[in-house]
Amino acid sequence: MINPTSSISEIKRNLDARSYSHTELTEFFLNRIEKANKKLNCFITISRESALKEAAIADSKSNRASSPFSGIPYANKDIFCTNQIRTTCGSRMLENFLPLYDAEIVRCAKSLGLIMLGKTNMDEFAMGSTNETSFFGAVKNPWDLTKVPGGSSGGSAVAVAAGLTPFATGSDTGGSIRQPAALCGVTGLKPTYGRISRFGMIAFASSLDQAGFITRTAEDCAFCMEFLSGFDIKDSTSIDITKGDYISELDTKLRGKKVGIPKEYFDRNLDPEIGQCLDEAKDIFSRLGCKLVDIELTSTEMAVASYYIIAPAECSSNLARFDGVKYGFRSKYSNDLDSLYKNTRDEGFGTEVKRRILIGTYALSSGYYDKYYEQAQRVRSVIRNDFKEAFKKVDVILGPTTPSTAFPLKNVAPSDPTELYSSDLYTIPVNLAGLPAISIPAGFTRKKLPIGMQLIGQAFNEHVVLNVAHQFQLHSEWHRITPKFSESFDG
Amino acid sequence: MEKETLNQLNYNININTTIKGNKVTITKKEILKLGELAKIRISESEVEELQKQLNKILRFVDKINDHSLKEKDDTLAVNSFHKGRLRPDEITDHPDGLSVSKNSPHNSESLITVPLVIE
Repeated sequence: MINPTSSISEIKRNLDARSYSHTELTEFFLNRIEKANKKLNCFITISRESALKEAAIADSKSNRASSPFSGIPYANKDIFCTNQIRTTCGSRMLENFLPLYDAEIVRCAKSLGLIMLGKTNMDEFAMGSTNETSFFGAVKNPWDLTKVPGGSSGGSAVAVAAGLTPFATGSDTGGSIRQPAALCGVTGLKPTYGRISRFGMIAFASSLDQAGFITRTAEDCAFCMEFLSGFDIKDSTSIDITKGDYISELDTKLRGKKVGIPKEYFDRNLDPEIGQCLDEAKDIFSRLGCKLVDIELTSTEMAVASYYIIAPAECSSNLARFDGVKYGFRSKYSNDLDSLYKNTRDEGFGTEVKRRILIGTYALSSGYYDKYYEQAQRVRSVIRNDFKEAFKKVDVILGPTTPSTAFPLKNVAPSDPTELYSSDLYTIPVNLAGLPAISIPAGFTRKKLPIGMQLIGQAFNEHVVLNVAHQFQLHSEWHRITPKFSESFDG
Repeated sequence: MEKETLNQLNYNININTTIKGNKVTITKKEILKLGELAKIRISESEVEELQKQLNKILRFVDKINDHSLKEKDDTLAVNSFHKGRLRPDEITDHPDGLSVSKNSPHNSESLITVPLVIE
């Protein structure tokens, strides 16, 4: 009997012991995905044929020594290019796009023998916090089908939460891994900017984008970091710094560790129920011998405003490549090159994406560049310095991942586009500073919605963040609780 | 205007945004100009709603100008880890021309086709 919520190491043990074959395991998850996706809409593409082919190859090789990660099924956010497998980025613009190469993270997974189950749904071009901006329809939260899963890696978070895949990749520009992980009750890691290759990851805001993972536990995240992170010459922002020993450091005891508590993360913006759960989490850390230290991150509130200049500015530049000529969607209604560009971009992009391109174009325009883009970059330096000062006093910073739990799905776009901006209040500063951070389950509200706790580390200190998160998970049960919804897809 | 390239337009922009009580507001004419720059068709019927929304965003992001920054923080330096570097100048694997042209929504054998550019 296969358990859909097994950890990566449990699956590996069972594969090695021949409790089930690679094909049986892959088929089990594919069947669950096909049943669940009708309700959750968390996959855009299910790659049954290629997954079963890879599983059959893994079965035929199982006598030989293979990589320690071999045969584990997983899913990719549809932002990562997959050679000759549709890659949409949640947009009509790339509805039928077949890339000619694999993203580095996909290539790496393939070479280790991982089996890709499919491509997960996401906000269009990763722009959104609800997954409602996807051209392929909204994704539903398995804890409550009337609620959003968060975004933009909402499909990946739901797929893990509902037991449809052991883990999934994601990308995080302003909280797009951590926020949906928090809203769906799973673990999500955004590594340091430069730690994982972004080659083949469709660009949104290049100074902020980072690839990462959504898993069931911090231990599984450590496995992903061990095998899928590292320097890549093809990504000019990739950094050649020695990796931590992610797996063996998980067991380091926390006695004496200093945990920073920023007062700005526990103010009136925070839902009191989340505050209460985090108080209990702080008690666990105290019992484990950690010292809780009050710190200040005074520029937190300016971070969101700064982000909503920098990210659209970079997106307006990155998305200029989608012009209907070389690949992707092309409008039928054009009689010259200029109308081809304009109609293609009008019809191919959704409302949120177009709005961000326009505001980004404005922020970069002559006369407004200094007032917006340059000032936003200065604010970014202030935020980075805030963290630098804080890390002189502490090893890790503890706070909420989100100010509220999952909010209701809406069928219409909000008339005020800034309505949801503050839902990334605690995640955005981390991207602006390029730091690693993890969101792990820390409790539930009275209405049984998951609550996420965020742990932020110093640059390239993923091993510290994972160690602290793992020790918390050894002394809490929140990450083991799964939504009732997932039970109906067994067999 | 139609014949100018996107690059030229980027340098030529001169948006006369109005300033009311130090807060910036975008006019309808400027919305259309942004559409030209970003190469996104904006119909007359969309302009009013877009104007409302972009002004809401501008009011939101204007917070960054409410704070005077301390001198020591007043920097645009990039993160010290991220220094530019060049790749070795070597030929690496690349897709063949036919595969690339096939990826275009309109192609003819190994060529990508577009509307007539020069008459």
